[in-house]
Amino acid sequence: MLSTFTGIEIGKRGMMANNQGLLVIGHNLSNMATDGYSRQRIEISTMEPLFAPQLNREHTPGQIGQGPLISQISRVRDELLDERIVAQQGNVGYWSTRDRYIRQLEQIHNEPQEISLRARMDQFWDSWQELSLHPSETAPREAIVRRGQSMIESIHNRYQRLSATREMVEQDIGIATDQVNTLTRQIAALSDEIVKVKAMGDNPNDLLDRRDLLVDRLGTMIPIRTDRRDVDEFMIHIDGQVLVQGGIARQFELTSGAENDGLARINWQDTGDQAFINGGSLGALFELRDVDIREELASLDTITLTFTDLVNEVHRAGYGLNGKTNIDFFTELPSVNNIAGNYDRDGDGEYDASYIHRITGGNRLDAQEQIGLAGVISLSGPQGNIAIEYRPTDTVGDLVRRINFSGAEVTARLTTDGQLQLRATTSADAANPDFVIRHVEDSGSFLAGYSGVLNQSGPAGAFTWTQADAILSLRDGGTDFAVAPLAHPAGWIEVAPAVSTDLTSVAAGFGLNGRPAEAGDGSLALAIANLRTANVMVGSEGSFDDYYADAIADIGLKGEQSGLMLETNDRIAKSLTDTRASISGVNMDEELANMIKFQHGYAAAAKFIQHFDEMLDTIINRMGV
Amino acid sequence: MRRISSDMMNTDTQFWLRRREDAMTSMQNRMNRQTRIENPRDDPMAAAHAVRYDSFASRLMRYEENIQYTMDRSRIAEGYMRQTQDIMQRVRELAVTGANGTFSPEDTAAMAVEVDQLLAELVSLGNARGPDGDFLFAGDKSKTEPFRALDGHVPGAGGSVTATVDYLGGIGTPQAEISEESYLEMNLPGDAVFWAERQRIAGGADATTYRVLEAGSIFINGAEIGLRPGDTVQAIIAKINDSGVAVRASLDPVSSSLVLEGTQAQRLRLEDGQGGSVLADLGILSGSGVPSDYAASTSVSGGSLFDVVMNLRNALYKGDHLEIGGRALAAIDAGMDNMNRRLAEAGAMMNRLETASMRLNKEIPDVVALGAAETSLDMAQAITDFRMLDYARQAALQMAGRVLPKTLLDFLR
Repeated sequence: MLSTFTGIEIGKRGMMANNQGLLVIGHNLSNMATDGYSRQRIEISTMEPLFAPQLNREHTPGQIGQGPLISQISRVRDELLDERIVAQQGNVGYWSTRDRYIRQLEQIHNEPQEISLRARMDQFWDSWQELSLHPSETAPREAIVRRGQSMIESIHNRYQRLSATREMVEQDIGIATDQVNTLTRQIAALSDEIVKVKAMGDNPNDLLDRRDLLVDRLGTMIPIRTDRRDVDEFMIHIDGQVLVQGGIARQFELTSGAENDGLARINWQDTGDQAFINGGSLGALFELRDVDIREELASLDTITLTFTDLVNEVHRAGYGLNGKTNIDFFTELPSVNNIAGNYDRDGDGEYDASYIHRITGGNRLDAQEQIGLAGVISLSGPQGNIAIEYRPTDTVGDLVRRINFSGAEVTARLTTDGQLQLRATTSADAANPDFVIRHVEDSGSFLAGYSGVLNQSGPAGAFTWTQADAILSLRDGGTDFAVAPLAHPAGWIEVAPAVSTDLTSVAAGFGLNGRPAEAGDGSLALAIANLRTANVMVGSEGSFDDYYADAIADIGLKGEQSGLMLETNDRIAKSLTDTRASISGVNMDEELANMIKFQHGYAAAAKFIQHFDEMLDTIINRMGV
Repeated sequence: MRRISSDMMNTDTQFWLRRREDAMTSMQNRMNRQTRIENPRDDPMAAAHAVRYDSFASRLMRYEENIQYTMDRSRIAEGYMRQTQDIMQRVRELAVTGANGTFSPEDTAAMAVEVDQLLAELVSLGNARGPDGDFLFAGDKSKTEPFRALDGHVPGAGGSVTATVDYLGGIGTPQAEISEESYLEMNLPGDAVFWAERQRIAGGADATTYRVLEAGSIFINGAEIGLRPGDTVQAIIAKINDSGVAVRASLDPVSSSLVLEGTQAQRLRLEDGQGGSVLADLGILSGSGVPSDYAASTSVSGGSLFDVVMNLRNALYKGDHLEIGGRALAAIDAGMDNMNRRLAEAGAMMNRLETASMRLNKEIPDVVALGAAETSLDMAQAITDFRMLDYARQAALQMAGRVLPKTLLDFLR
């Protein structure tokens, strides 16, 4: 025999189940606009019916259902889709950060416009042409000095903007690393909570939603992979290493060193090893700072150093209106404070390196002359030394071209006097200093006797930078060298005070046969104006025009690529998130329809109770005994 | 997708609206700046090309300015040269008249006075200045008066008259760049224009046993001729003759000294290279280091325009008819010949400048057009595109306005 109050129990269970259902619907509806919310569904099953196959059962046909029971409240979420989305967020984060900063770098160029550095330089060359027409006047000299200063200002300005951008990126890196650390800690804390709730047999739906949201955000910043195979331990991996494991979150820390211009490096805090972040917005920031901005600074330094070096070289050979000679037009930069270029690299108090930027041979060469010698020249390159072969039938011009196209970090040119000049470029590896010649060696006699650069051939006579007084391997008599600048040249260059205070020191003529130039001699002005189009090797580009065209194309292509990739990845992310919204998003109509269902269910259950109550009433109150 | 979540419409609209707005702002910027390339990323290759064209165009415009300046200067110099020619014509008439033996010394003395005045005029023409105050015929010593007249006593003059006219100008010639690495002299030097006869420099010392001891060089008319140790005077002569300067070197058959003859009427500019003394050792230069400062034993012949006019005047003072009608007249003819030849040279320079100018007149607009083709914006297309974007944006906004469509809620009582 069933209990008297079974009906009421059934009704009561019905009311509670439908009530619970309404609560879940209410939760869904109010959270329609919540970030990262996935709709929750109540699963109602039936209670264990009577009677189970047991000895003390009532002999009545069964089984009699006992009303609804809530089996679980689950969230509708596709976890595999979540993993794909997290991976995609890494790409979006990377390209959106990169795009933003590349845009800034593009704007620094100010091209193609009249206010760019190139336009100022064009005006500078133009003012020398003007001087060539009126070499005895001071007015064109005034124009030269003013335009030179205006161009220097432009260079400084660009340097400062690049430095400021790098500062910004550095700050962003600091903030982002903090954010990553905070997020991982929060995720680990949530995982702890979730495990406890799960241990109780409940579904921690809202906690899971919150954790997934944090994981999404983390995925934008660094390239992570989630691992849910172990239900008790939620793991996040980065680059093959564990980042978060259950309740343990590994942290990152930033350390700065002198070898990277004082910029921060990211390490794992527990082991101290360097962490390699290759994607996400943090990865983009590192790449921007260490590759793109560094390249822009190197490029600016190269053009500054080449330009000032060349103008100084020509200007020193000329005579001003006041008869003075050997005057530099641009100041010598703060460079290594030792005439022989000796420098103490590791800070132990002893000279252990030679910082030489430029070596000029003593002999006059003719570009069309055949060398008549054979051998292999080795020069320092991005990774190790580069070998350049020469044969007896090669002309001097051929060999110079071959050196410039070889990919070595040393370029060659013939000066106006026909001397061979080797100059160092910026180095691709941040560990090597910029503008320092690291290795010059010749197995034959081209560099030794023919051009008058080295003392002897072969490895014994090689010029290597890792020793002090390396200039001893250069030939005596006629060989000229210059020490390398220590700081970024672009930040320090100025028009020499000797020239800006006394305009008559600006040279216009070379003079003939060792005599000072006459008032009307404009030959030097023409020679300087000629530098504009001459193939003087600006870094690895041929002329200044080549350099500018290449610089603008380079940054333009980077910008184009980042714009396109950002849009592509945005669209991919959008389609994935749309799919997720389709699966997990709240649809108001659907919820409202379900609400009606539960409302009716509730009302029906209530009505049932009422009827049952009336039935009981009959038994209790109306059966008079 | 079979199931649409309620806020999908909103997120979708926002997504596309942002993109529309970005495109519109970009288009507006481009229209404001009249350029298709707002940032290098819009067309990297075109930006690189535009940069090259821009620099090239500014170079061409500079060449145009240089040509203009040089043309003006040449024109003025040519004018003075023509005036000189006119004066020489008058001098020649006086020479022809004075050669007539029927005139007495008093008559020729009167003519000499007129020649003296004409000489003064010639000197002032030689010292003519250009519009910016530079001396036109002073070579690269543009602030120094090129011709200096010194007074002295001449028999029959009855007072102090100009006895010598020295050339003090520079021996280099200023150049201007009129095209890519193509240079043109800005003026003709005074010691070539105002010259009459070919110079002949004969050294005073016997040169057969001379040997060059150290490597060095000599400069003739600005050209450097390198000499090596062990060169004999024959080798020096061969090098000078092979070098292409307008000088013929030879050995005097009688005194065995080095003789240098100019092949055109101009002053020979000789000097030793720095630290060398070859010409001084050969007895040609005095060794002072000043160009064309000849030793006392050197014989120099061949004079300037002023020299031949002074010659005529001195002969007129003396009343030497044979001299007037003979050597003086011949020298004056030679001088006028040279002036004609220099005028032709100046004319040829003008021609070259005019040709270059005409070429630039065509080239500059071409290059500017090429640059514009890379970067300029087609306004009509830009405006149409902008209108389309605006229209699409308005449609999207209208749709967004319906972001609260009717839901089931509206239909429940």
